[in-house]
Amino acid sequence: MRRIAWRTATSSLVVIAFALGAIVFLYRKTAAVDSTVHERYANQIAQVHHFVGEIDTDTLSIHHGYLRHYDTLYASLHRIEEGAATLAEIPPHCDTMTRDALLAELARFHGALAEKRDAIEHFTSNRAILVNSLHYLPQLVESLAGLHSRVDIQITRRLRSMLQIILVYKLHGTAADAEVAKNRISALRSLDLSREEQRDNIRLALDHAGIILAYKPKVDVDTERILESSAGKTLDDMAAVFARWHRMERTSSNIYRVTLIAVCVLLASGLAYLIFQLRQTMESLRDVNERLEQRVEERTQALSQMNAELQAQIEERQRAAAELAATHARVQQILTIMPSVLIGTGSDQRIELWNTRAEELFGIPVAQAIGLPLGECGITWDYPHMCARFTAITDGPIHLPEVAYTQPNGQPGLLAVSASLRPGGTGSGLLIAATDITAHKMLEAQLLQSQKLESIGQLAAGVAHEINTPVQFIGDNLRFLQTSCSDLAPVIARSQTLVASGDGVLVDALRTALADADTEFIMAEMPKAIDQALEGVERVATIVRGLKEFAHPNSADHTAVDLRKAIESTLNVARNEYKYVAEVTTDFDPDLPLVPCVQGEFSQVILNMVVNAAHAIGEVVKGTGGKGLITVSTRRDGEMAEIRIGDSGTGIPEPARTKIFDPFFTTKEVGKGTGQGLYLAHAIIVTKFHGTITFETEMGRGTTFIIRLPLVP
Amino acid sequence: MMRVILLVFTLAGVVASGVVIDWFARTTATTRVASIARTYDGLGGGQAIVPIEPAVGLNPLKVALGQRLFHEPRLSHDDSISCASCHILDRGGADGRRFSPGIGDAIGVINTPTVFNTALNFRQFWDGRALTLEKQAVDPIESPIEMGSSLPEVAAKLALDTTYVDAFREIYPAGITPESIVDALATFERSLTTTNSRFDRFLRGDLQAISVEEKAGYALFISLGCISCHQGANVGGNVYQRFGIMGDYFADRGGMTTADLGRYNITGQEEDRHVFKVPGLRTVALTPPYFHDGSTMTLTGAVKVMAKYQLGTELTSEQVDLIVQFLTSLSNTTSLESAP
Repeated sequence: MRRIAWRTATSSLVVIAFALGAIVFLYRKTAAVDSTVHERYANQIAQVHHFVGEIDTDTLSIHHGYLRHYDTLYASLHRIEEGAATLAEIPPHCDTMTRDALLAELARFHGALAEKRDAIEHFTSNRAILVNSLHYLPQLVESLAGLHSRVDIQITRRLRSMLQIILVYKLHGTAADAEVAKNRISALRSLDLSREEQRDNIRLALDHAGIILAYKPKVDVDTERILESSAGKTLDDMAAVFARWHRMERTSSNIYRVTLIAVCVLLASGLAYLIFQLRQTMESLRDVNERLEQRVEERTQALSQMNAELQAQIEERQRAAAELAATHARVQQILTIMPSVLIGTGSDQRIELWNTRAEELFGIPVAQAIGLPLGECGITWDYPHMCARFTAITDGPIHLPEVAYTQPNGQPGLLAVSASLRPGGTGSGLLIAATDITAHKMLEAQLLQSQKLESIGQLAAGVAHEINTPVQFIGDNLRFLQTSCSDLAPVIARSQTLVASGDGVLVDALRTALADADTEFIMAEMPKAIDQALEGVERVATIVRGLKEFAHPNSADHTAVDLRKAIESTLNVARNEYKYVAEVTTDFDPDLPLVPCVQGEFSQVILNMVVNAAHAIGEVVKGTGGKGLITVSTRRDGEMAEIRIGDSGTGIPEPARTKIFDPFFTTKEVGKGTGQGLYLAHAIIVTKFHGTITFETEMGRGTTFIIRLPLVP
Repeated sequence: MMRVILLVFTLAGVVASGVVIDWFARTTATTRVASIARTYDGLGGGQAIVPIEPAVGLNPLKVALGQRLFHEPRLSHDDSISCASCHILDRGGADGRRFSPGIGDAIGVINTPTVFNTALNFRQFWDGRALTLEKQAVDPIESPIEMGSSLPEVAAKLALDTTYVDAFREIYPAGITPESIVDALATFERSLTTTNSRFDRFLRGDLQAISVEEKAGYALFISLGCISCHQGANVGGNVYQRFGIMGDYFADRGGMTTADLGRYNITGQEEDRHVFKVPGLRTVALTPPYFHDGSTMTLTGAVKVMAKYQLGTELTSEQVDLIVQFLTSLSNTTSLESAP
């Protein structure tokens, strides 16, 4: 309804604007014919024409002697020239064709005018000569042929007839008369005038007559040229061209005027019609309005009722919304305090949920994570692998117990990840829960190691204890044998002396028995054998003692430890690890005081070091049969005790140097190392004993670990 | 013998008619103008000479500027010659020389005509080569034997003079240009008319303005036919005429020059050989020597030459004297003296 009204209004406006434009255009067209300008130009032509006529009149007046000076001719010419100059300014609204035609005519007019001026100049000058001769000739003839003339009567008669015919010629200008006159003049000229007193005057008269004959036609021709000049006709043509154009202009102007009136009438009737329509529309509008008001009232009542209902509904909704918000807040709180990472994605794999724990663990703020695809959110895990797993989820959650990732501090970490399709989510949205189990795993590994060591220790202690008793009695018995042997030695020596110096069967029998028993050899070798056996027993005892000490139950407290003793016992325990690949040299500082630490843990560190050193050397000497060297030294350095454990092994390659103290880092083949040795050593020395552990290494030359422990706890 | 008698009679008749006219004028004051007109009409020359109308409608600023330029030597190449050097205004608008000197040692080839009443001429120069005074003003400035300059040169020189710059600016929006220079000069020349001469006063009805002899001279001037060419307000200056209708002037004079060819130099038409513009005679008494060649030093001589070569008649010294007296009445000496 409104659109139609708008369209009607627009089209009405367009029509009105068009009509007004047409009126302005038509009015301009009507006004374009400037009668004043036209009249001025037409008058100008007429004026110039008038002066052309003036010249013609003046010429005739001069020709017939009524006007006796030429000033008016040139005054008229001057005015014509002035007028022609203004005629060059064609009225500005003339069309090009008319303008060109007028200018062409004007150019012709200028030509004709120049011609006319030339004719006038000739006319005036020729006429002066003619007039004077016409003045003089009769005078001269009269004086020559007068009553008292002494001139020959024949001559005077001829002169008179010549004058007559010339005057007739002057009157009628016929060629025949001119011929006759010319003949008479030449006849007179041919006369012998040598005796005539008046011959000069006769000749003068003949000259004048000749001049008249010559100049009369000239003057006539000049007069004709002036009168016949096309100047006037050109002006007529100009006037005609201009009038024709003006007539055309007027006609078209009249057409425009009629059109203008018609458009005005049309516009007026259109307006009247519009006003009529408007009134009708307004009346019907009033009716509609009244009906509308009535209906509005009805509707208002219904609406207020509905409003009340709505109000109630709104309150209900608000209550529900508040509850929902409270629930949401609770959920949010849960999400925040949850120790696990919780990540939710939409169907497009973009992150929609990112809880506080996720922010902490991955170092990625929620604002940054939300909206990113899961693969680009910045979690440094093996995403393609994870993705494969995630997409494999059909129903029910999946659990990925150990997922490696890199912690924000660059350390490797482990996650336990559970993922499931999001309940109520659209498409394949995921809910991923992840718990950081890095610390847990590490503790587990450490525990395993200590348990291993502990059981070894217990076993070793048991074994040591069991071995100790036989070793003791073996030693006791050996010492008995030793004593016995030394006790037997003089007996055997006496016997031998007796055999050597004595005779007899008994002696011989003894001699034979001694020789058979090779007593001499036995007596020489037996003490040595016993000594060696004792030495072996002693060594076993030492190992057993070492084992007992090594496996001494751990005391968490720092005690003053003799490093030399601890190192030596550890070397004894570890001998099996190195004895085939390396010699061990030790250099202990005798002045080194006891160092406050936990002996078991310290021994464990040294053991790790020595075992690592042996492994490093083993890499070098493998297959050669040669042996490397492990050097262990202690020394006091101010308030620190320094223990250096060097090997002639492979050295630590550059990429590994920064990682060797990391947990789970190992270069050893699978099963040989746990990656915990140096990590624990580091943890014990640095964290527990407040010392330092460093190393110097050179590829191919070996590595030296330097442990420094404070002497004062 | 017959000729002498004829001449005496003619002379007597002319003098008598002058006396009669005079008597008429004195006795019948009411009808004198009409009757005098009839009298001279009878002689065939009535209304041939008309009084000079004063020049009106000229811009006085242009006239003043033109006057200054007219006297300005900087119009010539070496700043030695102005228009007024040859057209000396208190000497009838000419210089009294046969040929005028130009810049350097140059000497002209044709006699300097008067500058007075030139606005009344139908053309300018002896050979009528310039239709307007504006066109005329250019030639002497640019002629190598006259001022030897050029309009651009003049314009450049004048532009150095602030008084000229201001004066031109006051009149011409474009300032000093070749066009404005010649316009000012031409306007000034249009102001140079010798109005209110005694003869004009006579023509206007003051019959006592000229003497009896002068009236007799006027009558002769008409009856001899001088009036055929010397008519109009300027008594000539509005018609060409060949020098030597009734005799060969140039053969008699000898020593033909290019200038003697007259209009032939312009048109190359044989009929224009020795044709010159008939000079106006308003200041003729003041501007000897006479003719284009300046060959005749006295007015008497000039009148005789004219009678002989143009009319084919010989005048008595009395006739000549009367005509000369008439000619002196044509110019207004007082207006010349007051001329700028």
